[in-house]
Amino acid sequence: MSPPRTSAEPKRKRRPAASFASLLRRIALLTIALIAPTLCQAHIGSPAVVYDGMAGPYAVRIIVLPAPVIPGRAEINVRLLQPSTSPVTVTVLPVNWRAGLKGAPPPDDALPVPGEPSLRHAELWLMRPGSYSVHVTVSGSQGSGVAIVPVVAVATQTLAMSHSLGGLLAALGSLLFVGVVALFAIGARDSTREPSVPIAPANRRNAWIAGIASTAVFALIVFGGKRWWDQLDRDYRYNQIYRAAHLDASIEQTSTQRILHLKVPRQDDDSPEKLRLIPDHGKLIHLYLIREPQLDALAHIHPQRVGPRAFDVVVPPLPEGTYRLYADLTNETGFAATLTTTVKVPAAAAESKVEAASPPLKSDPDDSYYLSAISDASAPAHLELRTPSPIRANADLLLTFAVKDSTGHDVHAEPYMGMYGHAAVRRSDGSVFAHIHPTGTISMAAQSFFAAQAGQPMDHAHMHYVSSGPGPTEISFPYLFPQPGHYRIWVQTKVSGQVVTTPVDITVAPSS
Amino acid sequence: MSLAPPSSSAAWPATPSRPHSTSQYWVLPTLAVATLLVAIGGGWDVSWHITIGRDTFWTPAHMCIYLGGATGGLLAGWLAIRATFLEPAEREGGVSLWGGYAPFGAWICIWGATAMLTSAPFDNWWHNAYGLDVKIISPPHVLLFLGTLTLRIGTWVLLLREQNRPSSPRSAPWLYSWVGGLLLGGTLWLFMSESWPTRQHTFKYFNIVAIIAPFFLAAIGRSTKLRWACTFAAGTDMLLHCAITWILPLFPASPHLGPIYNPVTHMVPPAFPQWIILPAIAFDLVRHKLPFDRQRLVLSLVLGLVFCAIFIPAQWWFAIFQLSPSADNWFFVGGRIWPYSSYPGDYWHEFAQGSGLGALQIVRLGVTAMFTAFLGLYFGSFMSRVRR
Repeated sequence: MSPPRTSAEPKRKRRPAASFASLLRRIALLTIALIAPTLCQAHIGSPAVVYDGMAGPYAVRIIVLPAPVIPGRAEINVRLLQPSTSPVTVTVLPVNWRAGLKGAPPPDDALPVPGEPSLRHAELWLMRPGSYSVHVTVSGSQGSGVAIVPVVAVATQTLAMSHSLGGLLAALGSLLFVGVVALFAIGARDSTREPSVPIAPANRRNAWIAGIASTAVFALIVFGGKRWWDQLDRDYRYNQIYRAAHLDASIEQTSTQRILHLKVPRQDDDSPEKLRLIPDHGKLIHLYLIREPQLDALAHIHPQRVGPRAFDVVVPPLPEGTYRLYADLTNETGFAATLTTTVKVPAAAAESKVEAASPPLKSDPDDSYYLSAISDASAPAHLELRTPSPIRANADLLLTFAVKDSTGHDVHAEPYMGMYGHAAVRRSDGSVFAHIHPTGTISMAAQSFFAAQAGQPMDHAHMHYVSSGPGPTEISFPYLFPQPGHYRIWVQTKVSGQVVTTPVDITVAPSS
Repeated sequence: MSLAPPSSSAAWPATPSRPHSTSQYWVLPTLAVATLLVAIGGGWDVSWHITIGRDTFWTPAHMCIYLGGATGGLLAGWLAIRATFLEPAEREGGVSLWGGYAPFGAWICIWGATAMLTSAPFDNWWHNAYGLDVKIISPPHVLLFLGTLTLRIGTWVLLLREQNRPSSPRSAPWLYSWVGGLLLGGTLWLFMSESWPTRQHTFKYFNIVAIIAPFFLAAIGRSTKLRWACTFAAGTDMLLHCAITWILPLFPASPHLGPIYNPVTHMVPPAFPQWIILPAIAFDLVRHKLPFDRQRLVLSLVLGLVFCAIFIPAQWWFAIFQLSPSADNWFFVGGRIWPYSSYPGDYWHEFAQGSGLGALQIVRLGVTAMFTAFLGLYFGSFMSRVRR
């Protein structure tokens, strides 16, 4: 009844049968309610999808909180960024990548949120794992327009049972168990006894036999049911929950270069021979290298395809050390993912410290890197955080940075890969990573794919806020921090033709 | 031992002057209607899922199921309160449990209603933990089904008690057989995904039917006072399913979830019911013609053979017809049963992988049917003696 799965959709891994310990663990239902975020799709540990853009004539900020399980309901909030004097209606429509608009259900109205006149809210029913676009249509006196937001629908969370619910179900389950045994016992003792006939010893004996036998039978049924539940749970944990594809990384030291080899191995026999990607800002992969644990060196580079599933890139003049790699890529179905691994970068050979005249592998012209020891002094500008404290987790906010020269004067940003700003957000423990832009957290490549599918090619210049005149002196990134903690954000823009990277440390407070 | 109706009430002790029955004439018919509501709600709910898709607690189909469940549970509770606190004389015809008194069937109904209630928070948690109805057969759904099934069993036992009274109302055997048919149909309904027409040539499908149908038919036939009880039970259940199959598509409806691969415009009906009525007629004929008194084993052998000889070929050929263009009409509904989320393709009209029966498998089906018929006769024998 279902169409065949494609390589773009989440892969499933098979795992062996669970141990007896896991059985016992599952029996212990009375655990604290815990929603444990695991690996997330595009970005890591940062599930909210944020988009700032235009829906026709209306400026909107759209925040999608993905469903933790599929099929499930995602939450969508649409904020109208410009006050409207006339009534405005907002509808939302999830569109599956395979079915397209033709296979989409009727849209739902996003209803006003009491006390927040500019905010609309709705639920999105996402029934299949895979790639979706959400069409947000805003209509009013200025006409109507559509914003397309790519969303991936994958199961990401496991849910334990709360004390209260576990207690309630345990009590009701015990009552049902005792009740069914009692029913068998009284059935054997009394049900065939004529009225006014006293209970005979044989009736009592039958009751005992029925009670004991039914206890044994129903204990076996409960045990079998528990094993069945465990089996379903294991299947969910190991085969349904999304896990990003594996990423192999190694460094080859040549006479003049350090080449980083990347490979995305096939996950199973169903995986295609060739990794089918669509370019984002013209690049198949956006790769961040961040030195751990110092977080003092970063590179934002763009590997080139050298094989069906292999990519190479020249490592910039980074110091040796262990680096965490984050590779952002978008599948041809619009499914965006962040793959991660670590690699040990050796010290550069003596020859490699000098720019080679004709290196065997060319660097991408948009590659950039940052070293805290030297970049700060040589940069033509830097960025200063303007967002007032406290910054709280799970709050819809704009991270705003002013572009300043060394004397503290405002300078105009220039487009860097079609955007005025790029930012890499990383929590100190590495549990959160997101590559964001002034348009939000979405994959531009996925958005373009869905827009073309819907017959609405995107006006990227407009969409990315890149104007023909001088660029802005402030850059803003809409974002929603998923959890409190210490974060480092590497903000990038271009000034005087040179990429400027500034690390900014912030502390995110718990939600209010 | 005979499948013939209990001969008369003469052998039974004289009834007390005050009837030990459920007293109010309205209680048993209302309970029977409650079980009917649960059955209708079940069919409606499946159609809702495969037509509209968007499922909340408050869908009309859910309300129908819960109305039936609540009515059954509350009525059974009323019988318990009445016998325990209001009419102590009624204790005589009931059984005692934990200090309370009620007819045996009422206690069963109360258990079923409690199971249905328990399934609600469990199912809600399940949706949050594993997704919205990823599979029809999940632990909370099984608990809900057990609750509805038990509610029907409780009603069945209450009706049985009424039927087994020497001066039972004339409607009691009819109601008893009718609810028995609902029980049989409801149990088969749980395995709907295995009884899809494209799967009706698999061993698994026939095995499921061979486990369920002979048991209920033999139990009904053994315990009823009706001459054509099996036919009546299977026939009324078939009529109910036919009514659901024919009425649902009269209502315009469209999917509210995507992806939509099959853009349906009306409520999607369930498949045409299975031909359980044919072996049911044969079971009644066996009851009428063959005196297998006290020979439960021999009788079960005959019933098992009769079931396989009639049902397997009948359903086999009907399944072929169902997948053919000739069945694509309002009566047999043919290929109109596919959900909105189903990708149209040739497989709509082809038997599923693993279809086909070998000689050994047919023998296994026969043995299964004999065994379940034996169990049904045993259970029916007990049922025919229920007095409280």
